[in-house]
Amino acid sequence: MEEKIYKNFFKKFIILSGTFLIIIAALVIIIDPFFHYHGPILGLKRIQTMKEYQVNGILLNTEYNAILAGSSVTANINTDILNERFGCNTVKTIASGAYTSTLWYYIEKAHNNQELDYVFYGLDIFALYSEVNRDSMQDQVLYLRDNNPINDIYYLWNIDVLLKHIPYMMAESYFHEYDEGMAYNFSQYATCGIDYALSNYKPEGEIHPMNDITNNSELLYANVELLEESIREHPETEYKFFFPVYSCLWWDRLYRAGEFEQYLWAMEYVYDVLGKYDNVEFYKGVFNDWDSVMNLNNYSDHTHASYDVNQLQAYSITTGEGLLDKERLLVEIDILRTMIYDFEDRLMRDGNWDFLFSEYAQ
Amino acid sequence: MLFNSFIFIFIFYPVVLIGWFGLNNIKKYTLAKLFVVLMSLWFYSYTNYWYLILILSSMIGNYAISYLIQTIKSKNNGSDPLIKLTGAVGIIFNLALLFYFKYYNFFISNINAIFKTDYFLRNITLPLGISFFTFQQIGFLADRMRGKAEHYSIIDYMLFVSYFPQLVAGPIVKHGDMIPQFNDLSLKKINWENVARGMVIFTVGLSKKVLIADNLALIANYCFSNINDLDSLGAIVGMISYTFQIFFDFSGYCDMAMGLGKMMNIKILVNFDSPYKSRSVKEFWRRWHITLNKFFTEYVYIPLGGNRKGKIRAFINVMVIFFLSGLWHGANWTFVIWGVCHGICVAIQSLYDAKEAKSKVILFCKWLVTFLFVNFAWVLFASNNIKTALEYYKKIFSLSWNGSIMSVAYSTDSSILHVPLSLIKRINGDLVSATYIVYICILLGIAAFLCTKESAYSWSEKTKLGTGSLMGLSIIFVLSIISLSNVSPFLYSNF
Repeated sequence: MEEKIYKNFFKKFIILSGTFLIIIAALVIIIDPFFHYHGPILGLKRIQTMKEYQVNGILLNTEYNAILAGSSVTANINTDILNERFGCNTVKTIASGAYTSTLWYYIEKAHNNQELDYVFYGLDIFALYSEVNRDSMQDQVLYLRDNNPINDIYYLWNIDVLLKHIPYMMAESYFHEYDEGMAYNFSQYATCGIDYALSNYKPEGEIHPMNDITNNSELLYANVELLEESIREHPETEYKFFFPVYSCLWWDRLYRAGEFEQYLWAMEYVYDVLGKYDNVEFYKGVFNDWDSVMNLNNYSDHTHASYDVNQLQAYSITTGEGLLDKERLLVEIDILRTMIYDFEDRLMRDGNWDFLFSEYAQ
Repeated sequence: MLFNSFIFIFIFYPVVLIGWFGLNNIKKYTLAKLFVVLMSLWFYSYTNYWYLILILSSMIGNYAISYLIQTIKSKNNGSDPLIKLTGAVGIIFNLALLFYFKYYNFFISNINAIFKTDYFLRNITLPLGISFFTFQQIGFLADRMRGKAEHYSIIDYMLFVSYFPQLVAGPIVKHGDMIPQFNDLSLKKINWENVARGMVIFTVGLSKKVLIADNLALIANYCFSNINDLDSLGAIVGMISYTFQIFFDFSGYCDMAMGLGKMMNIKILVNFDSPYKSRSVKEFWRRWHITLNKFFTEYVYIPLGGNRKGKIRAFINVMVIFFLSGLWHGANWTFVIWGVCHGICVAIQSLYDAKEAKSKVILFCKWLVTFLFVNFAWVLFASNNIKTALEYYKKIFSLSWNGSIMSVAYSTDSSILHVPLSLIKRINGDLVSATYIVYICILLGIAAFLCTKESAYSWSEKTKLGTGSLMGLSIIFVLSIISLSNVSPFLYSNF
């Protein structure tokens, strides 16, 4: 008799716990905040909060006809600006570090799943020197990007998904005006100022002689070839590249490492290879805009610019004012070159950052 | 493999239970034991197959020594010196293995520091639970030398050493406690009371680990990694969080081990008995990691003379075992000093054992002093080196204030807080910080409250398994399961 009571207790425990777990898994499958199984349903919106968990699902299971690819500096662009001008539906495919092969992988995945009209691409020159890996999706969480249904358990039974992402998705979809253009945007919350920009910047003391411009060119060639392959295979898609904006501190780091000229040459090279295609346009963004580069009041750290500066990059494309041809590109590169050399001369002369607070912060 | 993982809970353990009772049911007793041995080896080597070679070599080496002792005994009618020599070789073999994997780099870096040499350190990964299974086997060999253990069959021996519930973080069991249970025919049949109560203990242990210890770890890890940013209050909160974290981590593991064993009708020794209720450090060591303490008492303290050779020798003997206990916990001077500090307290208490006080005030003061001592000593345990520990102590006693408690509070960032915080933000954004502080207070309050309660094992033995406990346990089980996606290892599996 006693045995039966305990046996029943055990059975009931298994059934009850199992039922709870099945309900939780079903809820995750239905709401699916990482879009692993399907796009938004039941009036839910494409709420994007964690790129490492969502980009893969969004590319596979939601509808779009344009993507905005790039690194964290591109993430801060409001895609509404692009959508309005080009009448498209843009999703952000952002990869930390912006490995070119990761972004290429995303672009190809998008091509395989949707008819892409536009690819907006924040071309971080440093990423053109990254390792090339054609199976590269290292940015995405494994259990969401592989084809193993068993490890989906980490998604289905996940306290963060249940108590954080599902409520957030529902609240943003049903009760707030969610602005998808601001997805993954962190600049709207960041505090900018020279102190913030300088706070974590530790310049290398020694200034190295400039590298040969062809240094590590095999990586550059391989990465550009990946992009060229995508462009060649999808002539129906317009590729709009732009050069993201960085602060004078970011350029200072390159200058001290002797990589400055090499990177400027890489900008030319990538234009030469990709710019010859009819479906490719290059835009300057604001990469050499004096106020956007030199005024550190526009930065939250030495890399990431304010919300407003980020949007200027998008306007450079939408207004067409930033459109580059080879001749203009060389002129614009020269402007940046002069700007950075002047900055370095001043730094050398003064031996401190004080001038940044006075003349450069107007 | 960890107890707190999906694969263990949903695949490994159900398979073990089915295999164990299924094979025993058809009277394939040896096969059932072999099955558990193989499953235990899979459990041990799940994350690193090299571990399999290590544990197999260790078990086979020790078993061979036991066999040699057996052979000598039968040939020489128990020639004492030869048996002792063989046993000693076996113990040296175990210590050498432990030394290489756990202490080699520590030894070399000390040599380099003292003699200004530059011998290379090796890239040695500390195998899980090596201290536990090595000590178990040393104890076995010592008993073989003293004629207190028989030469078991190879399967019994391997099962004794590798039995998965106790393998990676104890308790350090004795052959005499385990092997008779493995062979007791009355324990081969499924016992639903044991299954139900075992599951209750396992669930309580799992929730202690993933719901309490892992959340407290967020606070403790933040504090011990950002000492420079802390003020006194932040440092104290970090210290207390670690005190409770290690309690719930270790006690959670012990509960889980006992629950797993109980479901298989195997009683695993109590290793943990409400240690924070202790009113003296000596009592603390009768309640914390009980089996390690027993091991050192039986195999080190008593052979050294215990308290039979005068007070000074007793003092020295206590210090020896606490020095070894510190070293056992890790190859770092922080552990050694931690052990020595505890040793000094225990040794002094042993010399001047006072009569048990009756006044509640005195009892409370004794508890408070003990608890505070244990707290401060854990700082050594949690620090990577002595310098860090000293910096931490300095922060505690600096009596400074910079509001770091807010950063400490934000470090918790629990998903449980997400919805309440969103609502509070809408009502009054200024209350967000206060919510984090309240959360920390609740977390520490629950931890403190649970520390005063009886152990999960004794609670589960008495509790009536009705609808209330069914609902409660199911909810904490499910909450624990969905918290497994960020798995974290047990602190004691690193020792």
